Amino acid sequence: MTADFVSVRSLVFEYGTTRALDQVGFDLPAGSVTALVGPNGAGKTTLLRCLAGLERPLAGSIAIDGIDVLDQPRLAHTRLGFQQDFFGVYDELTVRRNLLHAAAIQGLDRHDMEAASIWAAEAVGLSDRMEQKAGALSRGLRQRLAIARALAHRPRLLLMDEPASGLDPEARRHLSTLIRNLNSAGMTIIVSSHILSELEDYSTHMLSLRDGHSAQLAVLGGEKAPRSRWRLGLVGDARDALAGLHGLSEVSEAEIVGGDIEFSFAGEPLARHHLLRHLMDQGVMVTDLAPTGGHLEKLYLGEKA
Amino acid sequence: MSAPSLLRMNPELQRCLWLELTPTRLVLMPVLLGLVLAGLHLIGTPNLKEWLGYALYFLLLLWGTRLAAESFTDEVAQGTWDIQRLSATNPLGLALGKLVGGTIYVWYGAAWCLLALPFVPGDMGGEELAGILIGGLSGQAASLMVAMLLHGFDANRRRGSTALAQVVGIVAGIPSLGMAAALSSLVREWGTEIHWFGAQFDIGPFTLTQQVLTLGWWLLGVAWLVRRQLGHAPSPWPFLAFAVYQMAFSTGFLFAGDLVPPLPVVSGVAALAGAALAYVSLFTTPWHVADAKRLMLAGDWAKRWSLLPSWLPVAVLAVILGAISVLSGGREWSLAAAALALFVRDIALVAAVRLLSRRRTTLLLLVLAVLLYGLLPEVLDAIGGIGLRAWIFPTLDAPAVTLVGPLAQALASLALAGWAWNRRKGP
Repeated sequence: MTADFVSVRSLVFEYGTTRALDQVGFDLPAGSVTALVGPNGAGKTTLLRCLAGLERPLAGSIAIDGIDVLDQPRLAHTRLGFQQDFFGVYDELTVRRNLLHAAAIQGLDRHDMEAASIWAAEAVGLSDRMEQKAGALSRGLRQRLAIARALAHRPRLLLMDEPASGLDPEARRHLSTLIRNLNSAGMTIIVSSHILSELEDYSTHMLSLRDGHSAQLAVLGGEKAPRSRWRLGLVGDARDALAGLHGLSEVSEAEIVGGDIEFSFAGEPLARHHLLRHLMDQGVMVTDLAPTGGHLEKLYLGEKA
Repeated sequence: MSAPSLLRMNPELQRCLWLELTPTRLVLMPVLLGLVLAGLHLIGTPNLKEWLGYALYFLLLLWGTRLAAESFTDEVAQGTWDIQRLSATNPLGLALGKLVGGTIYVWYGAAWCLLALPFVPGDMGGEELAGILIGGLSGQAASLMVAMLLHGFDANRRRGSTALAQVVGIVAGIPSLGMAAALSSLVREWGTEIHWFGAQFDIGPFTLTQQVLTLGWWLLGVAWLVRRQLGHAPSPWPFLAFAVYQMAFSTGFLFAGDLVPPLPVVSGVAALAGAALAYVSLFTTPWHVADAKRLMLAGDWAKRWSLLPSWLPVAVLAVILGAISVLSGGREWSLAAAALALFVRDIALVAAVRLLSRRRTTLLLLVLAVLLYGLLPEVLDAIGGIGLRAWIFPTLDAPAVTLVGPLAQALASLALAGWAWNRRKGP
């Protein structure tokens, strides 16, 4: 990850006399996936709309890729895509025409428009429905089209507001894969969602809002990230396995929980392989190694406490 | 032009073409128009050109103004307007695309009418035809602009907005009711020529030119509102430029032949035109507490200027021109000073009402206007005649001491606005 890509300073926003965002400030690096979390009414959607230039804050500044969103909103729009929490698609147009229009309004030339529409449809799995009208698609497919519209011009920043709401489990899995793929391709992504377990799958950062008053940024991935908790399933005496884990530098805070062992561990694939080989060499009968889950949730709730 | 080329040039226009010009609709329009013309011919209607003119009125004004307003309100209702707001499109391009694209079906019908025109009996002058076409586009632009202005007051309101926008569009578009043509009707009684800044013009070309210029201002207004919707700061420049144009336009009629009017008259007329436009803008611009706070928190003067409500510089200009009229020795300086005081009073009253009342502020302001300018003068006349009235209203030949009345009203309203601000400003 590189230098700060999104910079927000002292952001204040009011609806009437209600302060929705109060002195919010944070920096997000390029290539990060940030989980935007917080209770209902915390100001998540307002923050995303301010980042997209759809709302003008009372005070503060927003820079995306060095562009001042308040001074140059249209230039900023070329760098960002925003999938909103409703289906912003043209029902009477086909999927192809929806995507061509999405690419055209961001200033792509005619050849790039065609390529962009094909790429975006493929990215969300709508390639086989290009000539179908958007209004005839199911809810999940319309949601995918809305996402495709947001990323048709290959923005450097993608803002997603509750992208998984209303999606079935398969569509949610597809969405997680899509977000990981887009991130691998270099896109910086901010995802607002209530479903913390899904955000955990792909997020590198967590930004929490509380009543719009402040923003806390936590690093979930990379060298600065706190190591996640893993559970080792066993057959036999857990104390032998616990002894086997001692002396491994990657492992810390190991403890026996219900006959299994939980420990903090970076969990990279190669490190997992070495850990399992080490334990098997020691004669430990391992049945299972998996993250305990709920890391993001614990971090979020821990912050709240 | 191929679809990808047009899409590249004006995405909004191409999107509207996809939606509006379906094969069925393309066939239906000429068939219906042909049936109407054939029917009129069969019953022996002699002047079919006149009926084609009515068809153009129906298509471009009655239907076109509706379509123009709906091209915006439908997008808001369907949740797609926020997608458009995220675009990098040029505001004028988006405005033109929406205006022409949203009404393209009625223009398609109008094109059939124009094609039929040379082949049917009757009379229609080129000037009249140009007036209908320009008036139609003006009406549609006005309708779209009003729909966007109303959206600023209440983003969720739709049905009433469309109807109101359509009515304003029709009024602005009918040449016999539009501003430029109303002027033309008025001066027609004076003769066939008009004096403007000392030069003589034929009324026909003069009013047609004014209609074209008015259309240009409508288009600029729509583009200005689109620009705001795309995330830019409001900027008072376009309305200020429009106000200066209208002031110059109005004062132009004071110069007849070699007659040069005195400065107090010129500045007085310009001030009146400016004040009238400031009132219009004041009523049609939403002004929220957050807008005022944003203005005060702006970091530098350039930002503050860009965040000013459009009526404010025009009001200041009107006050300055009014003051010039008073100071340059106008005979009725006390009348002008009283009018200025009431102008300040009204601005402060509007601000106070907008701050204190969260709903139906426009209705409340209209009631207030009727009370202050309709009922109160009648009551004062009935009680104490012109002497009493002069203490409240600008009155011709009133003694200077009666200025105390309007000045006191202005100060009281300013105090009320200050109190309302302190009550509503929040954290």
